[in-house]
Amino acid sequence: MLGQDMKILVVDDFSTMRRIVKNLLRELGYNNVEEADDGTTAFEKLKSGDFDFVITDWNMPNMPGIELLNAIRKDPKLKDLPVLMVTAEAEKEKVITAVKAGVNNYVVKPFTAATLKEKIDAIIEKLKAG
Amino acid sequence: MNDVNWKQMVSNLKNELSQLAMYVDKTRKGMEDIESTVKLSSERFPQASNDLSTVTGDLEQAANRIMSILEGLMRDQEKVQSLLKVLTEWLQDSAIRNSDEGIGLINVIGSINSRMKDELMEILTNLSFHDLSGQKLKKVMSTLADIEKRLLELALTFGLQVDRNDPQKDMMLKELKDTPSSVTLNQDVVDKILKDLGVR
Repeated sequence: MLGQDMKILVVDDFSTMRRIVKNLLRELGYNNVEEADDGTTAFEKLKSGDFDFVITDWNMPNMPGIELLNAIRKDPKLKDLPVLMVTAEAEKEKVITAVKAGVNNYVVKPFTAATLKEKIDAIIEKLKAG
Repeated sequence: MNDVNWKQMVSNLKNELSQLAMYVDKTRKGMEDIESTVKLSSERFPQASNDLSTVTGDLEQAANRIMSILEGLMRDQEKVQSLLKVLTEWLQDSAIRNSDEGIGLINVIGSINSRMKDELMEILTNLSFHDLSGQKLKKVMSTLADIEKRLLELALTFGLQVDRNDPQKDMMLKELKDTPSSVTLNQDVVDKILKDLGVR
């Protein structure tokens, strides 16, 4: 289910960043949002919950965002889950790595609600078209 | 060998021994300096890491406090928007004279309220400074931990005040090398090494 009612998981080790993303999502009309503070916790939540969308940071302890993305793409049940990478890592190589790993889009921090909306909309449109 | 030659030889030997003693003393002092550096570093590196960690925590606390206030203001802003909508409808339905003028004023208040909302969202977005600066601080803490580890490795390798045949030395060195650079050394491991080095 992709749209305003979709269940989103926000993954970031900084509580403030999770809160910012949640508020931005709320502003955009997405109210069904849950949080995880690292990739390991996120992966467990994803396996046990019916999430429709993942917004994850790259730099996190235990399991970084890129490893979470790889784990999602390897899991038969989760492999098609849309993943938006939200990170301060703007290096070209990192973006290429994320794209190769199957990320759906990539946002560089700090970002506005408009940028977040643009990225989420682009992912949804592409998935609906495909 | 006559008496003069004998005295000369003893004098030369005395000079040589004296210079050798001075050299040994100088070297010993040099070693003490290294120990003192290791001691200072071992005390100050964890302190610096702790200070940076505290800064990250303080930033998080401050950012969360600001965010709580912001969330309250955003809720109020939404309420004002709803009330203005109700007021507009009420004015449109009422037979009050000059209701158009009233609606005009409501629209002005609505624009101000909308601009406030945009500014509140901008403040919220800018609070991501905490995350960005926190990540930089984490990198600095990781570098400090790495330098501390290398310094201890160096001290162990040169065996400062450590019995060269001490089997624990190799074990400790292995323990240090097995620790990933990004990980802060366990305080127990550090204390054990320092104790064996005679630094603490």
